[in-house]
Amino acid sequence: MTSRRLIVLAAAWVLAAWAFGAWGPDDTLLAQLSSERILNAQKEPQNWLTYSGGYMSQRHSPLTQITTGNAKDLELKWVFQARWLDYMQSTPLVVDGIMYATQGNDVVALDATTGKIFWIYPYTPASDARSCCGRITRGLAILGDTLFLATVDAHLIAIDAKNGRPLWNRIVAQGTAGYSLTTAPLVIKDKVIVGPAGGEFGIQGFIAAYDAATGREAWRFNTVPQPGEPGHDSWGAGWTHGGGSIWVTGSYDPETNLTFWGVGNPGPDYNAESRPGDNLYTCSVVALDADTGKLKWHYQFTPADEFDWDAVQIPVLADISWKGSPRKVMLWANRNGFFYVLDRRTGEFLQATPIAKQNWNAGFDNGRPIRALDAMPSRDGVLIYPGNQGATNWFSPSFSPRTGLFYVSVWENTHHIFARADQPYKEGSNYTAGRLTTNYPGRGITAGMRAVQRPNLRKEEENFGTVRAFDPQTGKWRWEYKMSDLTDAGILTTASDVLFSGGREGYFFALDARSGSLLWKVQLGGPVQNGPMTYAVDGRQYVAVSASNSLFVFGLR
Amino acid sequence: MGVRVRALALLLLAACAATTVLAQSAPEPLPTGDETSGASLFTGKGACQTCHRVQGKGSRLGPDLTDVGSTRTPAQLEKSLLDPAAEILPENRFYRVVTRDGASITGKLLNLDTFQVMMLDPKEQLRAFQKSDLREHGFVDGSKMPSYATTLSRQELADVIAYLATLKGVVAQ
Repeated sequence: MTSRRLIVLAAAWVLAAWAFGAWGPDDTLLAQLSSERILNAQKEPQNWLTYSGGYMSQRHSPLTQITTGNAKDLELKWVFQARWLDYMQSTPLVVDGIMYATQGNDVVALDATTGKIFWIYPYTPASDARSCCGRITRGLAILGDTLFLATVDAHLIAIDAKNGRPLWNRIVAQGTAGYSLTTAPLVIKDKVIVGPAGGEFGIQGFIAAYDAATGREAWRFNTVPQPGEPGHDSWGAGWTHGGGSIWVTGSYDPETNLTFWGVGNPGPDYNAESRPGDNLYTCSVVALDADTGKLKWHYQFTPADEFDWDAVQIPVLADISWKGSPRKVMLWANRNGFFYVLDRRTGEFLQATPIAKQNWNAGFDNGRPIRALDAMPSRDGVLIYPGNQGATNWFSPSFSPRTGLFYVSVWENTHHIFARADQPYKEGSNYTAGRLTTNYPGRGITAGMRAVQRPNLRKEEENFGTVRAFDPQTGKWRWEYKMSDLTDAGILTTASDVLFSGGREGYFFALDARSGSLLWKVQLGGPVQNGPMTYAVDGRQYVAVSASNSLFVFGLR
Repeated sequence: MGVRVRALALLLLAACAATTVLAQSAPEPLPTGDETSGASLFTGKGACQTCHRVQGKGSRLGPDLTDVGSTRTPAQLEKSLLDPAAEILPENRFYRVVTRDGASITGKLLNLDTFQVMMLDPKEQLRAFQKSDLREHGFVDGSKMPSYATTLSRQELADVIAYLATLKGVVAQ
């Protein structure tokens, strides 16, 4: 190269660098979100950094601008209408004024004050991927400048948060065999943790951690133990298609370095004849070492489940006074109709009380449920309360350290008649081996969006949705907010004692978290199916919630 | 000047122009490129990462080239290297805003409407501006990219293009 060329090149480089204001090396630029910031999420309440708003998964915000006094002045600020016709179950993240949301399996970066789009990462899952309940995702995780998306065809994808470009794409499992990823991943330190859904397809479930920088698998915990692993003998030959899915995000306790995840139902769903035993670790919470994936403890809510009662709920961690002493507990409202208090350090069973009508349980023997003799599964069919969708389900509860109450959306008076049936396993096909009937009049209970298009004619004794506020000390609810229809909405509470939730009727509402009285409501024209979240930009507090396929954001007038 | 003379003059002019265009559009073919050498040039002498990003490395302000080998032909890549201003895709446009307090920010334009401007600023932060809060704003014409016609040899150009052609995007694994 001539000296003239060198001079010209150097000049051009300097000019371009000056024009862009960037001098190349990445370390001159601030990474957006460190793991320390996620760990201390409560110190920056203006942001919403994980699916549940923090590692303790309380879905409780320290923000206080919206109060019980002024909630009536909430108004719509903006709407994001997804180019996606299915319902939206995800909770967006907000980092320093930027909202990261999903539409189907696309990722969208939005101005959190206006909803205007910065960029979209489009992702179309493989058309032959199988999922039981919609081609949805429940949200994202973020670390540094990287977002993590789990897709319905079982890929985990790292995406540049600044420009929406993919960085790596890891095939976690085989989508055509019924494995799908619908959970928002959880980032702990330098790892991204997910697990596959597919409990209705006879998958072999697992929880796995991936290196955030490279996507390489760091550890894996089999929720259906393989031969030689502890718990394998709880299956007989049925382990090969044992289910044990993962489809909502876990929690993390940095003090013990344990991450907690709820595990789904065993397969086939409605007939345990092929899987004699307790079927560990289905319908359980597992506590894993976050660095290695090693099991520290587990608690099984429903051994040998035949009612599709996934323990796929958010593990809510709380530090409370228990029988007069401080205790680090886990609060868990389960699909099987009970509200549990566990010691999160050891898994010790402390208490379980019903959250809705149930007839399957005759008590607890040292923490193990005693099955009611007149509610045993059979081929002829047996009437069970609650029904297969449970007394609650995947939608997020909330715990307020201020009120000391645990808030959960409950389905009251639901039931099914469950009958065992025969069904051979076929890869990629539904594998449930049962017949379900019901005498619900009017609308079905499972298809939220479709159901809302039909008139609601049910009486209260024929089931209803309600928000209940439980006192962990007694296990009993102090107040409830009843709806005519059922609800798939999560719950958000704030440090100003405002509670936000919604339901299939399409209302999004604010309640007084201490009394349950209605403060404000708005009709959104479609069922609310996600957990509301809140954030602030430039000193103004916003509340975001989705209904049908749109995301609505409210703030004070 | 008569009509015939004018016509002749125009014809001559057109012929000259056509010859020039032909000469410009048909340069000597590039030699066979070496992608390994091209990768070194990309990160070294060419200083391409000053503005471009590949597989998560480099600046985000210029076009991300992670999949450029799938979206552009070698001929298009050569054209971009020699004459960057010839074609600037809308997604690679730059925009300048001046805030009320006089701060001037030029960034990669991401979105625009009647009221708002969205960009990636020079510190690679996503920024949104209300137009009503701006003293002035507008597109920045031209390309920020220098031509490599004289700064890289023909062989080096071929090497860089060979490297760029290998960039096929993120593959699922």
